[in-house]
Amino acid sequence: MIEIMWFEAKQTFKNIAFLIGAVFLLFTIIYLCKPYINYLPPKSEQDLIQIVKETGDEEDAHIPVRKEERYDFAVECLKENLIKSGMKDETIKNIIDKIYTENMSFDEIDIYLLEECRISGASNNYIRAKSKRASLEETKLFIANALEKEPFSAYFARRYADLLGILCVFYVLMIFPFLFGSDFKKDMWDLLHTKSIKPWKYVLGKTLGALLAILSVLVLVGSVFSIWLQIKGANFLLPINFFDIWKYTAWWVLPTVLFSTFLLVALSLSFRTGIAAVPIYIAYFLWSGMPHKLSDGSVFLPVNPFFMYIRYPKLLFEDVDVARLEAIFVNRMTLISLTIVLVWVSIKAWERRIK
Amino acid sequence: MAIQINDISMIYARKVCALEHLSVDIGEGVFGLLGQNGAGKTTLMRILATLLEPTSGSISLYGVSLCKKNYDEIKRMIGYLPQDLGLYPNLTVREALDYMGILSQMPKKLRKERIEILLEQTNLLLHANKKIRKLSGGMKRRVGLIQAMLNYPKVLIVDEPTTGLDPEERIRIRNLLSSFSQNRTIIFSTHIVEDIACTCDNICILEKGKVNYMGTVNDLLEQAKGKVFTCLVQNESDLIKLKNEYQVISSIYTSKGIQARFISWEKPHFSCEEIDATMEDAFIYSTGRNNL
Repeated sequence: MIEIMWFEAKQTFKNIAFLIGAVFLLFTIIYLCKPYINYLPPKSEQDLIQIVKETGDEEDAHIPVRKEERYDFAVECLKENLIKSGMKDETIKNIIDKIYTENMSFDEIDIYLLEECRISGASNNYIRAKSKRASLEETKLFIANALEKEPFSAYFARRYADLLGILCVFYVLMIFPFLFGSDFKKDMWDLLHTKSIKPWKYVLGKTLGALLAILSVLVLVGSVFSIWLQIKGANFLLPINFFDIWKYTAWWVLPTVLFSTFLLVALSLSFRTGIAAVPIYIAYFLWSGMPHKLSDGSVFLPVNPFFMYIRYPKLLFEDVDVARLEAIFVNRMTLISLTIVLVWVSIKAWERRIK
Repeated sequence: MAIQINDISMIYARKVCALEHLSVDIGEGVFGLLGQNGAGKTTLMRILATLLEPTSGSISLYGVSLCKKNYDEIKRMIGYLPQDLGLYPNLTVREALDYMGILSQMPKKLRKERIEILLEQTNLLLHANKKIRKLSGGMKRRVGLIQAMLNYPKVLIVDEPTTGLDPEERIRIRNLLSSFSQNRTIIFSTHIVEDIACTCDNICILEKGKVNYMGTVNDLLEQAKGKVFTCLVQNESDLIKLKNEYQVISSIYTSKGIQARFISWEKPHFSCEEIDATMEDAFIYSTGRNNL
């Protein structure tokens, strides 16, 4: 099996799709993560504007709003939007008074404003009010508090692993549906089934060989960021833990890569064509990223045990709540268990003969 | 006997009977398997190659019973060349053969040695670093043969290895098979009668899943002796009349008329000449068909 692995790894390194994928992965992850590495320490308001400009995400210059403040902050945002819409001050005052007097939820505010003023989407203010654009001082304080809890590398590694996980989902899609492509031709299939190698050795050897090539790319990317973080830490006296990048890669990216790989292999071997695996895989990917709307109107990315990837919360220095961490743990464990099932399915699919 | 096939039948889905109570004993040397398309040759070979399980009957290869529990042992014993093997087009000849050696679980050193020997024997040494996709059809077929021979199998099963090749390549492959057949059994399936005549000691002619003839090439030729004639007919209508009465093997248009070659159980009463039977004549005589 080791010999097949090495052989397949060598062949994968020569595969043009693999090389294009590796270059794409490296440049994309650097492009996406560079603003977060350069984020610290923000010296001016301009730095905060710059990060938003670079990441294209308004929330990257935000700090979280405390739960007890969120409602008031959302009402304040609503008020500003009503002013911008050209509504009279007196009318706005009446609306705000009514909201507070009747202690209206944002769903009720939505209905009320639609019926009375033909204004829709009031609840969006509440959705957006989970974080706010902070001043430089507020941001500095928020970051300082966060860095007391964990080193910068831990926060960065979460964002890095979050983005890398999604990129890897696409990277494996470039390789694994077609890994057994030549074997599906009838005569080749026949020939391979007359060879004395055990089916499990063949399927695992071939898959792990290609996976080894992909993991080597992840090691390369991880090394680039580890060194980058060390330099950043040394230059700005930031707390950096060398192992954070590797810890989050192993915990966050690896189960996703393993599961995605064997899902594609199992599908392509079951259907005896790689093409059939692609739409199913993409549908699975889309389902895994489907946002969920809560009763209070806010939208979040849920953690289902069967999702092939899951996201960390939006803000770089935001804590991950315990409930979500537990759900993430269950998801990771489920993916690893499902990977074992998929390995079995792949081997059984390979053992099947053409009648 | 090296291979003993006892009363095997193979019935596919929808009750298509590919082999019907087939019993054949095969010794060492090149064993020819002849038959028209759909006669059951490929089914028989796929059974011997462990790709299919017969519906009934038993087979043993060098004393090992061909059943699921012995597949590992059988697979180590056989080499198989399917009909249209493309191998891996992006691999070089050497890489592809090395990979096949790995799949046959051969040690690295032995693999390397055998690949070099067989590449030299097949005149492919100069092309060893070429990608498979850049090889001619004949070369690909030779690479296919090497991969089947790589583990020096006791039983080599080759399915129509000469089809579509030019005469020179066909001769090369025939010679290769002949030289490899010492102390082992080669099952050589083809519908090119000439290949069988040149390489095989014993043959089996299959027809609709049954044995039509089983014996030596000489015996088959002997059976057809005195049954092949040639005559000159004047025009097409005479030829049609002849075809209605006899199995016409070939007809050649000459300046004197149409020279027809045909099979008859006894000497016809019209003007014709008895000629020596070729392997093709004998095959047609045996199968009672004229549409090879």
